[in-house]
Amino acid sequence: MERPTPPSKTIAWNGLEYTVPITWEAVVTGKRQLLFEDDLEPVLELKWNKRHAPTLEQAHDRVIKQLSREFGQPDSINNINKNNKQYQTLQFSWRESSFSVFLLFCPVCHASILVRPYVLSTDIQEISASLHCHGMDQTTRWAVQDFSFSLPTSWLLDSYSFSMGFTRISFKQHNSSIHLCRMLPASAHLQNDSITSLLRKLTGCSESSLQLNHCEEFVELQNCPSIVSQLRLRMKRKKPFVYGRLWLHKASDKLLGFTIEDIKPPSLPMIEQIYNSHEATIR
Amino acid sequence: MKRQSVKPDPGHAKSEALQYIPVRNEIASWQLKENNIVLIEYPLPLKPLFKSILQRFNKRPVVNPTKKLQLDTMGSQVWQLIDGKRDTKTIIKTFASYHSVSLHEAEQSVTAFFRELGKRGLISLEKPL
Repeated sequence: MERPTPPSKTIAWNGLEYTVPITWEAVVTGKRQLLFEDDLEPVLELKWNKRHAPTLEQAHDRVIKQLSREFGQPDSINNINKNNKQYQTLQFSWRESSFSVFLLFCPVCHASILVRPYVLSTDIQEISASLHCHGMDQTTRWAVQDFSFSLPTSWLLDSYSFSMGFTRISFKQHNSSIHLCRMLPASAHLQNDSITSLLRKLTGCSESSLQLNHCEEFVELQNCPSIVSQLRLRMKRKKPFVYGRLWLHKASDKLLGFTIEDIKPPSLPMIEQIYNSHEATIR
Repeated sequence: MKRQSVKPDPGHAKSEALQYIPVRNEIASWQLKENNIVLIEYPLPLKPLFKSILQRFNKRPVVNPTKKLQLDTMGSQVWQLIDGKRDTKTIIKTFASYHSVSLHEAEQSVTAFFRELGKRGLISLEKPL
């Protein structure tokens, strides 16, 4: 008899997708580093790099230096490539502290992924089967908390902040930047402020900025400065064009939104693409 | 030969820390005000030198000055959850369910709050039996 598959969710962060049990929570500990917790107990840690080493041997050399600094020289290194078509796998073990770290090397995109399980019974084959490091299309999916979105791969992660009830993830591309945010509980945020004033605070737009669209659950703002203002802002090294959109996701009591700062007016197809991909997942 | 250091297991340290029970310091008195806001009053520690100087000029025994601390809504909720029985993990879980936030978000907020209270000497963390 087949075992029923436990409910799962996919965590996506900076080019890596990993399917985990629904009770696990992903904690971002670095730009390419995730810690997974189950009931506040750490279960697994992932660290990865892309295109830094073209072969497993070179990846091994890089990793061994890093591991020696952190945990000391490993006592044994085993190649465990059995039945794994997706990743070449090395296991580093320490006898004294009885734990192992695995290096998964993807021969397609040359990603080296360090897997550190905190639970002894972890099956590395199971982990590698639910890991994906290279996508088929030109977009990257981001899903780390209870919301997700997709962005073209040309947008690079700049900074992030995960404070209680307010998450902000920022990206950069040439002269533009995008900040995506999620606020919860929306009812608490909207108790003292209207949705428009919240968006004004997020964008830093003044009362004079153009309000493109507005209703109780959705607001859209755009700052369209005059030529003189544009020049003045550029001299101050500020981006003159600011666009923001904030909406209420009633089912999950969340506010989702994004702001764009650019030296030229942001393109409508890009705005719609971000808006359509930015969605809340109900916990 | 250079000695190699092995870092302690962060997972184990965290699990242990979450089992500790926060206990209110008895020197602090508190009252519940309007809208379930907590007001804490606690004595400020005086250096023995200052105390002896004050004692010299005062006939009555020197009483330490007190300071009042008004907590916000969230802080008041956490303060009321501290009962000397609940451990840190239980408080985090209860707090997360109150505000429908993830456990990690609640953990960050609650532990930062405990650090602040600890710095002022208002709570201590006790090892479970």
